[in-house]
Amino acid sequence: MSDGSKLNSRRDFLKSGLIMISTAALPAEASRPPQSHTTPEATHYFSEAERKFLQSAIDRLIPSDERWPGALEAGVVNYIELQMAGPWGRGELVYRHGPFRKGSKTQGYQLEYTPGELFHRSINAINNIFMERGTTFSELSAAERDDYLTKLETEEIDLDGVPSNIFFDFLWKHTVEGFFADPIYGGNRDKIAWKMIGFPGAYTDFYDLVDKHGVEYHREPAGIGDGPMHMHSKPNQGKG
Amino acid sequence: MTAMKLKALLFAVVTAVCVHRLASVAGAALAAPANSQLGAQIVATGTQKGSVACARCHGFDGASDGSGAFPVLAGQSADYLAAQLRRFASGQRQNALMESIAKGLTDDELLSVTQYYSAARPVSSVTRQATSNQVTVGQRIALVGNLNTRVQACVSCHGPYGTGEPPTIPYLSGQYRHYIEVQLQMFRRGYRKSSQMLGVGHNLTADEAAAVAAYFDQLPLPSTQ
Amino acid sequence: MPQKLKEVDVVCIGVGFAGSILAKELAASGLTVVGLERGRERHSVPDFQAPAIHDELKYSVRKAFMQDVVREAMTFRNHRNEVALPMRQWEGFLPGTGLGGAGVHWNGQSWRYQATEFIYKTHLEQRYGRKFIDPDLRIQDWGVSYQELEPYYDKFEYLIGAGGKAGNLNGQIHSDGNFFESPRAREYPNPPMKEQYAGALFRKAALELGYHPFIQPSANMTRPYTNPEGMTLNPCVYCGFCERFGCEQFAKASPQTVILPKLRELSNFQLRTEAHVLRINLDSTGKKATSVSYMDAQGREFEQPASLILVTAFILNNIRMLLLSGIGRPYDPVTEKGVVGRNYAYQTQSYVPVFMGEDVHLNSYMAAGASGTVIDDFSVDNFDHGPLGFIGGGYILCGSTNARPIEFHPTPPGTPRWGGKWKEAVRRHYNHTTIFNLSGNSTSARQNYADLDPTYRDAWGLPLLRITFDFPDNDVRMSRHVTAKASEIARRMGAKIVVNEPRTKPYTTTAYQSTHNTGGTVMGNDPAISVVNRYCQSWDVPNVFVVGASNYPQNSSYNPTLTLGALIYWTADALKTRYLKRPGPLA
Repeated sequence: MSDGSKLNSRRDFLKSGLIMISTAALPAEASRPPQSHTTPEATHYFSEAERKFLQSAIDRLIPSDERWPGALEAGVVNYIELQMAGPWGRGELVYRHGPFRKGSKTQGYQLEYTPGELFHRSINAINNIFMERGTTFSELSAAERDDYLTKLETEEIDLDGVPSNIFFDFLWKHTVEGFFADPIYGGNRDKIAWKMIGFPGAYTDFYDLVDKHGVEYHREPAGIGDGPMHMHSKPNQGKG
Repeated sequence: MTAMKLKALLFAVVTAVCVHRLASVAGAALAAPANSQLGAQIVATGTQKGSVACARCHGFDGASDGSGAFPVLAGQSADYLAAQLRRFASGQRQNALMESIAKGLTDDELLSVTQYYSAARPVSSVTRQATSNQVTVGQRIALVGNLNTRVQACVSCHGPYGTGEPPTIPYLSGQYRHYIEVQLQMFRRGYRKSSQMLGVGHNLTADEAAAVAAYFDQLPLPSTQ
Repeated sequence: MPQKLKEVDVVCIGVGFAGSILAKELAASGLTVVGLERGRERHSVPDFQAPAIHDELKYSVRKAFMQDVVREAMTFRNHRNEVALPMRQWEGFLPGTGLGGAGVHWNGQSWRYQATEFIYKTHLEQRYGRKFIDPDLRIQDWGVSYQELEPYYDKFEYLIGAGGKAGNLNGQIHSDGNFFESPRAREYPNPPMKEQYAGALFRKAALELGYHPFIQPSANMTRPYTNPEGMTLNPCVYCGFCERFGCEQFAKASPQTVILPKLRELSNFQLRTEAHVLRINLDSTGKKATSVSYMDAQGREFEQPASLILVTAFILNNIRMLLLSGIGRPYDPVTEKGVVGRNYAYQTQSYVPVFMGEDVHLNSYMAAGASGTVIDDFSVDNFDHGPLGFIGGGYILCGSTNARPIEFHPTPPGTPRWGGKWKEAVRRHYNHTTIFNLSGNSTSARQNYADLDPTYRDAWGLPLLRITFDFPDNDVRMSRHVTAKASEIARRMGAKIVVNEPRTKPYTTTAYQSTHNTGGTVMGNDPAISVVNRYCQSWDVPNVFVVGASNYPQNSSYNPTLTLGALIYWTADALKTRYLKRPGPLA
């Protein structure tokens, strides 16, 4: 029985190579050196053209630099696709009864679109705008993309029913989520965002350290997926 | 060749290698600041002041003698090991044997041996057997806890699969079950003082303690970063 | 046809802190009690275990423990002349649901209100004169005094294992506690929380400025503790996942950890979860409640007759329950007639982001829900308002409850909102920044109230609660003053950048501030301006008692839960020693 399976880069379990007492009688999960749960990869929620826009956009929202990868490398598009394919994207976590009316700034989101619909409408509208110019958003230079994103952010261009500033806020919110959320949701690959800021992750017992003032604390972050998935956990939902 | 004989052979080989390496640094100054080489020396031959060699009980590779009377130290957080030595020295953690040893170490010596063991890797990695039922029960408590006895999941503090939350929380995976069971008793009875382990020590039944110990015992050891 | 069940002595609508404790007190004295909880059962094991519970996206961003907005939202507008629209997702405040209620996912910040607050109207008019108070404000006395509530504060503090240091022990001032607090008879059951680095820096600066810093009182255990109910809790580990999350360590005081298991041992108590109460039914006189109607998860309707009905469903649901049941006259903000929904208030929060140097490693993610160092010098009426032209104040708290990165990634003013420079600023400042939390009085005003929405309905076809609210001008002036004081402390701490962010109008539901909504079923001695009397008994229907922060005439600087705890035990006493001996109006 091979034991050569590695955990992840953090926990480099020893290869026995010598003797492995047969553990065939034990439950598989208990006996094997544990596998890290791989990042879920998205179903194809978006079309190719939509995905390309998203990749090019979030690449500017949180770009990579010499030291730290950005949203693209962190898998934020993957995160967004998974979210849109799930209950959140389908609008199952939002009160969706009408009548729908435009509200004041203090009354929050009042459009009738689910998150998924909002993304589809807005991105396709943007893609159409560029198609009419004979190009695509992805073909713009980085500076040009930044300019266009700023335009979306600060103006209220109609994107097939979605004001562009609302779309922008939505896109930004999901980009931040995908960048910083636990990797079980498909973003924050290799916990790159947590490593960048020094956030420890999901294992956080600081009883002995909280009052050790000024200690520079460096520990590899550990996420929910580094252990066996909690038996009662459903990543996306869990209404009590 | 049985596992036990193989392990003994490897132990002998490693011992020979270590002694050989140490012999070549025997002439070095003993008042060196904390470092793994000083640590190796103390582990092998003890200190000038007469502290016994750590390897006598804990082994050169930190895997001890396999009986469970002494814990696996290999790969444990150096800060955690140092904190324990200080607690032995102060009496906050009660152990007559370790108290005198710890008291006899200078700060540099203490930091050296902890550095050494933190970097040590067991020579052989033989996962140990346990009865299937105990491991299943233990796994559940380790990963989810027990509502009836009001025990939280061990991993909530001890890390994924019990691989520890350095620098303050030790790994349990691959630790000897007998040792874990005894420590739970120590927490329960107050010979080892910990606000965090007091409730756990009290609430785990004897069977549950044996089960979680069995679960962690048969997991592989983690290594350091 | 709804199924009519066998009559019981007591029904509790909602099984959070109020429902659990009242149910226990009454069941233990021999009554048959049914607790109806619309949400599901949940327990420390397995539902709150780590690492799964340490999931910011699920619990904090997607609000997994909160009321199902799909089935029952609320509507909101700032002013009466606007159309209220649904809060289609929870952002501004987060009503919970489920067994244990908000007690599962609160932070555990445990404050007593001051003695003057229970006679706030009388006190302010005496000190400053009636003309000093803005004409739109509706400040009222509670009808019960701090002195009367003191033993019940004590009882609740010992139930929850509150950790702190007494500042005023029977009149003797202790400087390591809260210099300004009203007298208490006993020390806290547990010592104060450990101090975070930011709090220590704040303490030093505050002392230098002549203020009185102390460690915030907490319901996150500071050591192993067994409460008078025989429940044992473990010490908090400062995990940084407190508010919005359940506690994996059995360390946060919640009904599950302090009382529920003992309640459920009593054979004359029955818990029914996924029991959605539609209304309280009254007899033909309209002065007596006969039963409660509820639906189960399968959509079947039941009628549960009971002699005594306790509305313990959380402030917002309490108001709505009375409105839907026709108990008490609904408030009309134009005529100012009616009482149910009147004096809705909130909490006037503000923030001061404090950017320290990059050599200062704050480690803010090492945090408990109630960790923090605080000064009370600017709360309530602890300072002379005469020259200042407003009433009320706020405490200034330095201490993180968390540094969860999706929602905490502060950048200094002038940083672009996104892009490479934003990312670099996040990286640079994350572990060197703290944000002061200022919690201010929320003064009730004529124009702020709750009623039933005319348009939007819940999944059962019943009108949603409508909230009409904006900060009164008084509270905005207060916030400007107190926030400036906080910024001074931050500068004294040696901060590189201090951002003074007082609360301004309009109130928005799009960003979280607090779930300290109060009022709507106000208590008092005058039925013209209150819904319940000083024993939390409905003036209109004497066998209905309402026990929640809905009873508060106005909100304090302080968090509401501990005061609710005192009211719970106060009401339990009134029920056991007065009402049950002779049912009828107690006042």
